[in-house]
Amino acid sequence: MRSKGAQVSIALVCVILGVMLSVQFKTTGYYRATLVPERTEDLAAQITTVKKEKEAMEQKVASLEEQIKNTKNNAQARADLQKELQGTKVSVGLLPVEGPGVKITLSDNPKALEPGEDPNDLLIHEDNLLMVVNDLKAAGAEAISINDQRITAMSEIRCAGTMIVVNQVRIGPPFVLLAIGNPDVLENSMTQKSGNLSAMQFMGIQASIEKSEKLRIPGFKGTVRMDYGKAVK
Amino acid sequence: MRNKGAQLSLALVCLIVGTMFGIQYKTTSFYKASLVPARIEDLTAQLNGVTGERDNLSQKVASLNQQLEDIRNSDKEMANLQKELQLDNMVGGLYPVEGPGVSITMSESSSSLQTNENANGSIVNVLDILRLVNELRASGAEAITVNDQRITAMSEIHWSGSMIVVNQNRIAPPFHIQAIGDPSMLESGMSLKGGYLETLKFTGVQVEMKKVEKIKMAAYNGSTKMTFGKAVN
Repeated sequence: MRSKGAQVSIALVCVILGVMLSVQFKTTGYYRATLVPERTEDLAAQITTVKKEKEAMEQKVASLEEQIKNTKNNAQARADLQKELQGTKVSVGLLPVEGPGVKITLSDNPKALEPGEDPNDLLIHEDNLLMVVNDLKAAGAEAISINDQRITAMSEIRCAGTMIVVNQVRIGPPFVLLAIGNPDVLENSMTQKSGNLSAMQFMGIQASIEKSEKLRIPGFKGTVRMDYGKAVK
Repeated sequence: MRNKGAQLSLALVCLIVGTMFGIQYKTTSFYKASLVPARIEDLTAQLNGVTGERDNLSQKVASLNQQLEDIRNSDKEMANLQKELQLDNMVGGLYPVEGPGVSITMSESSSSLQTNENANGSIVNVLDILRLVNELRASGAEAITVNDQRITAMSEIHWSGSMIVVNQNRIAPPFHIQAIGDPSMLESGMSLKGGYLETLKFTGVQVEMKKVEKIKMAAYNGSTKMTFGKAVN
């Protein structure tokens, strides 16, 4: 009788234990997966970005108000317009720009091809250039060129046989990428161990990066036109 | 003897239950008190606030821009420069545009989320979007957005933790990529046999492309001011 009582209580405790285990598991799993801490980090990062955008808008408002005020004086208005036009052309990539930054040189793997090896494994492909350019943008570059082709909003980087086409112009290795921006920041983020540049070096591609006090990046030389897009009023 | 054994196991089970109680209580109260949901509510409210302020300013920028344009257009000489400025801004992603084009949606395979998968995480890769945008450029796109983020010359498409960021804004699947340009050219350029869109479908990503008569795109929200680069005189 006594022994049976003990067995019942053990059984009871086991049931409670089981229920608790599953509750515990579910709760922790739920919080971990959906809410904490990614969600908060996420929101904090988004707030920082929108704040920056808001500040940019504030500056634009101030500059526009100033320019509108200046239109009372015709000469001043023209000077403003010229200045705005030049600034836009520089940042959009239509005019040359100079400043400090980094120079990255990429060459194909110099190893001689052995029987059974795919020559493609030794070459630099469009993906490699696409990723390096993208990394430079993420690291805060203000202007980028590959072999003197300025990267604009619509610049493509395509493979065409053994060559690469940028801005519809054929270029070949070595690829020299120039990026204007904070040289230390650019260098540090490009040389991260887990970065694309390191991965390319691991694959045998010859990659070097050097900081520079003064680089000069040319403007886009093609024609600027928009046939299908219209300004939204 | 039997009785003693039962008592011992009962004591042991009680000990385990007690410990679990303790852990359970601590974990839940930790999540509840310090992180969820007060912190998230707080951040969400903050984000909504800043976003509202930014959008108001963005409207103000648009109306001041219009005002300035009208003044400049009343002067013949300035009107030409103003036209050029507008085109440069449109091409660079700094002015809202509308026109025909294609709309591509990439959604993840419909299989439900596994226990250890992150709901925010994405099986669509940064490189997938990067390649797609690159192919659109090569197919003659005049303006591109990725989840409403307008692509400029310096727009990155990058990882930030498990999320993808464009213009420093986090975006989540499904990914909508829109391009203004000749719809048939864009469509045929994107759907080449063995092309990128076709290969993507094999990786479990659902890709849908359709021609659109009118796409409206906003301008890039951030600042394009250069801190390091200077115009070359």
